[in-house]
Amino acid sequence: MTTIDASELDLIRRSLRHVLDKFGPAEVPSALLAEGWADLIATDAAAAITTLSEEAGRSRSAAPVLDLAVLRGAGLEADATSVVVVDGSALAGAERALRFLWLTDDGIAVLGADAVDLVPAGGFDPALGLLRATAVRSGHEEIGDATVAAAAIAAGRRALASQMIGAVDQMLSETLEYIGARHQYGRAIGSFQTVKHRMAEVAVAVTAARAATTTAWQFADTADGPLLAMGCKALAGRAHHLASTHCFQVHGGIAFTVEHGFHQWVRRGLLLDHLLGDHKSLTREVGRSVIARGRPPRVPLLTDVATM
Amino acid sequence: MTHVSSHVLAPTTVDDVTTDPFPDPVAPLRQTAEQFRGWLERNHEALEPFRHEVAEELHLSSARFRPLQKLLWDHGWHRLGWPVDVGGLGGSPLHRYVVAEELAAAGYVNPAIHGSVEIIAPMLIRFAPDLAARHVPKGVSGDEVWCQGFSEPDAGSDLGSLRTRAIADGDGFRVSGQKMWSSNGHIASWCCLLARTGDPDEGYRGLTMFWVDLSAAGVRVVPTKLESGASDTSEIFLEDVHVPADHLIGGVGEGWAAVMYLMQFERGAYAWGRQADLTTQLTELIVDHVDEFPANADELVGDAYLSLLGLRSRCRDTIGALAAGTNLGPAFSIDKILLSKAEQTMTEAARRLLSPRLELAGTDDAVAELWRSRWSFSRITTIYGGAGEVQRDLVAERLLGLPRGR
Repeated sequence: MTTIDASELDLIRRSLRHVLDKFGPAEVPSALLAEGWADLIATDAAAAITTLSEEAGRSRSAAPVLDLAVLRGAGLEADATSVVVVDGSALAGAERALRFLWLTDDGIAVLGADAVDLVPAGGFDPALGLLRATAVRSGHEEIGDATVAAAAIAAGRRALASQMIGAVDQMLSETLEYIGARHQYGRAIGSFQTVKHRMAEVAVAVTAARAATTTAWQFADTADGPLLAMGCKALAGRAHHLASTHCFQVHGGIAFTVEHGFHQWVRRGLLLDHLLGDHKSLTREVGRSVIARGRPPRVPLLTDVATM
Repeated sequence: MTHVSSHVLAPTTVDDVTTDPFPDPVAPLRQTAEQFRGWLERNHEALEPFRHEVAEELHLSSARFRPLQKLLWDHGWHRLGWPVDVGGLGGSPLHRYVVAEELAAAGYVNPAIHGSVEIIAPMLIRFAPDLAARHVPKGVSGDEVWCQGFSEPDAGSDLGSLRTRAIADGDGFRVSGQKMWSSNGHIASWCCLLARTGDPDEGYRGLTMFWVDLSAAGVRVVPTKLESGASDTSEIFLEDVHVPADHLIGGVGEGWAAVMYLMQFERGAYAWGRQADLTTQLTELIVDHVDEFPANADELVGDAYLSLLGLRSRCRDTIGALAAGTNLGPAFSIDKILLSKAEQTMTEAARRLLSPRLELAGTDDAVAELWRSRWSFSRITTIYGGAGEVQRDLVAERLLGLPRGR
């Protein structure tokens, strides 16, 4: 439940954004801790992690905000030197690691800083600074079983959903500005209906994804938590895919240039969607889970809405 | 709390209305939900007929579910959240949406006729309190069926161009013209009808909303046979129909304000009720048919559920605002778009999950018949209540601030 009001949240958003803009990926976690991150997540983890992740998405920061979300999900204390490995990858800034938390469906293993070999992943989005992680020494300590891992993965999925949602917000607002200013045939291209409808599709998709993410947080600690986390990440991944397609198209040829930089949104989205399950595989996973239970969860609840 | 004297037409095994107190309109919503669940459980035998939807003509289905409307009214569940002035118990309108959710969650069908009351009644209450006091109790309890008279042959999504005329005449108006796509029209007794009282070139500014008695002289209602096999919508022909002056909904020239007020409920609250029913349909699909699901069932069910999760999560936020009296205006177009996507994703998933029954099975396969009718209905969800293109225009222009014009 949100315990932070809208004006406080705005202040928090600005201070988190300031940290993301000012520091490199390796420094962001310690800078956030110095700003009182532990207190913030103790007060309202949903608002804190959602806001941080949205701002990371909006600013296209490579900071490892996912690590902080996963730590919280695993029930571990916030710290700046635990680096999370998911899908065999670590996020940028891993040089700060005093230990690695190796996350799989089966559990969470702790490995020493010298037990993991890191190689830049390259791939679609080198700017994200993703690293391929290989365990080079055997011997590790299990600090969480499959249940803890499931909660940590769910927390990571909610954070990635918010990161994609923030990215879509920013892509949409940059694109709206562009199509309002760009004239062809004597009028702003944003006045053409087909262009408008592409933007409307993006707005609808991101609205649904954001609302579903709120739901996933509300029910994070229930039996529906993991399913809803998959659901909100799938919806956010779809929204990002739609935004990448439609916003790219209405930019015309300019989006293809290195100089314009729009392509970086598309590349970032492909990576964020890939981490912890892309939207198509999560859709199937959600379906499998719903069939196995025999009934879809009927959440969120109207009875949680204040009547006054 | 006082009891109104009431008669129960439905099975006598239902809790006695003379001893069963009305629900508390100021109780927390959670308590309302729990108590209603308890009532449904205690009376499950009597309520059994209302559990199953079948593909049938509107006059049959509306007659079948009318006793349920009556029961819910007589026992107070459908009085919750309606103002006392219209026979309600008062309290937050959210009670109404909680009752709709619990009814669906327990496996019952929210009566389709009640859905149109949920859309029209708030406008009557706001713009015509006297009419509301007389008609809302009858509409909610199922004694009356209402319809909308908005669209015309030459005015569909472009409602502002409608041509049905209303001319002042003595103590009222004379209305002439033609309406179409009036859901429930041929079984309805009253119609909220939008007509032009101003000049033809005034567009939406010269419109007035009327409450028209469909049994009045000069009214002819003709059902439209739809490709789904049902006839749940009608054409309404009006020739010099007298409408008394006290049957205006709002003032002369306020028709557009009235219809826009109504649209919040058509695009917002209605979506909540529908997602509740669609979630129940998905549950029944899985429980009853999982053994015949094809290999790609995970993807189909996943798609269907995600469309409902997005819709439901969005609706929870917007109807909270609606109940608090905030007019979100064009924001409801998002709910409307999400609803039409969910309706079509659901029925398409069902078609493929049950394949080839919808494609090949005859009318003796009741499951195929029902899902065929739902599938056909879902095709129109991107058209009624303002076409999908109009909704996207509203989102782009009014929410995203893109330039007007096409």
